[in-house]
Parts: sequence; structure tokens; C-alpha cells
Amino acid sequence: MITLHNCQKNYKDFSLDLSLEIPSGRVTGLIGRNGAGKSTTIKAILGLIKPDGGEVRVLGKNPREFVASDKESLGVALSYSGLNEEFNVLSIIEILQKMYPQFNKASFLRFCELQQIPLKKPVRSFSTGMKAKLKVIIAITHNARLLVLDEPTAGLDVIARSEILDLLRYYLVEDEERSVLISSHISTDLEGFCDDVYLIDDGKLVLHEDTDTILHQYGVLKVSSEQYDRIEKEYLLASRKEAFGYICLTKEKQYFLENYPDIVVENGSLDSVIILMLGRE
Amino acid sequence: MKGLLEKDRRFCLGQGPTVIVAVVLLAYAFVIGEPILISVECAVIACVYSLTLVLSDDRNGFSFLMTMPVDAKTYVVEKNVFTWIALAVLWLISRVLLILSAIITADGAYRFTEILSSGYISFLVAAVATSVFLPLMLKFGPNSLILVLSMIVLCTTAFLFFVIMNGGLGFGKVLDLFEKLSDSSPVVLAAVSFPATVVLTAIFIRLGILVMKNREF
Repeated sequence: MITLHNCQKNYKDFSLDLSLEIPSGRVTGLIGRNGAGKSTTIKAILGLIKPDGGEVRVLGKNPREFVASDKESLGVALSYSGLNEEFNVLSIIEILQKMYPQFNKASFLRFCELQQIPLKKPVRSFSTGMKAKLKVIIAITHNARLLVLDEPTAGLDVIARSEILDLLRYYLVEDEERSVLISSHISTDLEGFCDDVYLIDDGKLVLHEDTDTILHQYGVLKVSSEQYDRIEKEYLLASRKEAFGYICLTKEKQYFLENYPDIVVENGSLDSVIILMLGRE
Repeated sequence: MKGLLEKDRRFCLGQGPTVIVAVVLLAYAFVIGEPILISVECAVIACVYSLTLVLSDDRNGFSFLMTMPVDAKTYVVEKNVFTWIALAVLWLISRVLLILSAIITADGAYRFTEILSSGYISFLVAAVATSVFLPLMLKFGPNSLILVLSMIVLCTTAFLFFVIMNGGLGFGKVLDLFEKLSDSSPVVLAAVSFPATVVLTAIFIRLGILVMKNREF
């Protein structure tokens, strides 16, 4: 579905250099702190920017060469851009009907009803959560093969975030071949939703891992300075000095549980991966 | 293209204050009863509306729009098509109202010929102006200094054009040419101005597409 091969984009104070691959039927998360390059990556995938080097292929084509019909297979929700907020939902339905041949009005209306989105009020009067949900509903109701979502849950409370993820699950259940790329700096949103995650920082790939592997094989070790000196460092992915000693990230949780019964080993999570792999000393 | 046209149509109809201004301007022109003034107003309204649409797209973010089934060519062509449709609709409405006004006021021989032929040149100028300003807006942004300067240059050129047409600045021979042109039949005038408009519009549409294709969002 998506292939980035050494995709490069240089700005005055930021450079992206990234490779990633998203096959069909996968839900992939793009995580990283603000300014890590998530939005630039998504813009390159959507053909909104021209890479300075490398190759980008989406649905078998260079996205900069997409014609209108190619874009019918894309469902997109961007946190920073959308349709004119003076429109109400009924107007948006009319526009989408003429824009997408496979637009499903019945599904759209059903989702709006489920999420209690008013049809006749201008979008500008909606809450942040409603606007975000509407963007996702727009993206998922025209039978897109690929969904690209840039920070769809940014600035939302936990309930609104959960409702957005529910909408995305509806979309995925309809066709198992569909793929989703979702960026977020809220790792808990991605933990229970993504098959794999790409962790990027400063425009570079830091880690690519299956979410299940992170949750089941990764562990966080909390050790004193003495314990730290005697544990095997080759199994550690990252370490950080703390007041009590060290906090370390490992992909071999089981090894430490079996061989070092005296040290504290906690289950891995996306948060722990981000904090330990991106956290500064 | 259909979706974009629908979006732009709904945007224009939703612009309450500007619709009121347009109606007031047109009403004023009807009171004066001058078909040429009404035609110029209609042309300006259509042109300004089309360029306002680009401003609206820019403010709401081109990024999302360009992820929809809209490519550079569709976008630029649609904005021009929208202007032509707006011009046609405004021309039709204004002609019907002018004819009704002439009938009600029993104004001479109803001036049907003048009513129907007036506006031709101003509408062609509006079509070209839209196609010229569109690539400028797309390239430099709707609020850029270059765009403002271009508009000033164009307006100054148009002003000088009318001064020269009226015999100013010692361009006697040029004036003669325009007098000959204006004395010529509408068919001759159309034969000269229409192909020129088509060629100019086509050139600037291609330029707009090129700008849009190379633009980053």
C-alpha cells in the first residue's frame, strides 16, 4: 500500500530521511514527539510535498502523479486542514456525493447519528471533538482502500478519542484488506489499535516494531546502580539514570525475569518505549 | 469537478453579506438604467467571487482539499469554469431584468439590441482576469504583495487604456482604431475579441496548472 524508500525532505531547520512499508490489511502507527516529522511523512505520502530524494509509492504510484480518480481510494483526516467550517453537515454530504462515486450516504448519516453530530448547524459551531469525529467520518465513508490520519485525536478528551477509534474499527471490520496509517503523539491511542508502530524522532526512524511484541516482549527494568553494573547490557535497548539507579528498556523481558529474580521488571508499553528511546538524559 | 463546483456554489450562496452588496450594486445600476454599467458590475462580481473561493480554500487549508479527488488541472479548470458559469448566470438574470425594466418603463423601442449585446467585452475581460489572477494567487498566496502590485499594474493599465480610448495622451491614431472597432458590427467585434480571449485564457490556465502541480501544501 505504502512504500517510502529513503524519502528525504530538507527544510531550513529540519530534515526527514525515512523508509517505511505498510502492506495491505495493516494498521500502522506513526509515533514521535511534536516536530519529529510525522506530519512531513504524511504529507510526502499524500503527495502534498515534493521529496528532495528517495522514492514514495502509494497504491503503486508516485502520489505526486495522482490524478483525481487515484485519490478516490484515499481516506484522509488532517488535524490542521478540512472543508470550510461555514458548511453544515447536509452541505458536506452533497459535496461528498459529487466528489466520491462510492460515497455511502446511509453510513455517513448513521455515523453522524451515533456520534450525535448535528446536521444543520455550521461546522464552526461544533466542539473540537465533534469536528474531529466529522473528519474521520468523512474519511471512512467512501470505501477508501487506504486511510491516512494525521493526529486525529489531538486535543480530545479520553471519551472522544475512544469514540474516534471505534469509528476506525467499524471501517476496518468492513474489509480486511484496508490499511490505516495513523499518526499520534498519544501512544495509548495506538497501543490497542495498531498492528505495528514506527517511532520517529528528528526525521529519522528510531524503532519499527509490532505492537504485540512491544506489549509482550518488551520490559522496563528498574535497577539500582549495583544491579545495573552486573546485568547484561547487550539486551538493553536504552537506559536512563534516575535518582534510585537506572531505568532500562529491554526486548528480552523473559530473560531478565528468569535470570534476575531480584530486579523489578515491568511490562513494556509504547509510553515506556517513547520515554526511554527518545528521552534526553 | 462536479464536487468542487458544488462546494463553490454552496460557498457563494452562503456568503450573505457579499450577496447583499452585489444585489444593492445591481439595484443601483438598474435605477440608473444603464445596461453597460450593469454588465461591468456582473463581470466584476463573478471575477471577485471566483478569486474569493481561492482565498477560502487557502484559509481552510489546501492540504485536505488536495487529498480529495481533485488534481491540479481539475482545480484550475474548475475555478475558470465557475467564473464562466457565474458570468452566464449573472448575464442571463440581468438581461431578463433589463428587458422587464424596459417593458415596464416603455423605454423607447425597448433597447433590446443594446441590452442583449452589452456586456460582451466586460465578460470576456472578467474571464481573462480570473485566469490571470488565479496562477498569481496560487503561486504567491492570496495576501502577497506581488498579487497586490499585479492588481495595481492591471488596474493602471486598464485606466490608461480607457484614457487612450478617449483620446488622451496624444494617441490620436490609436483612438481612431478603437473608434473604427466600436463602429464595426458586433459580429466583427466578436470575431476579433473572442479568439483573443480563448488564447489568453488557455495560456493562463496552463500556467495555473503548472503552478498548482509544483506547489507544496
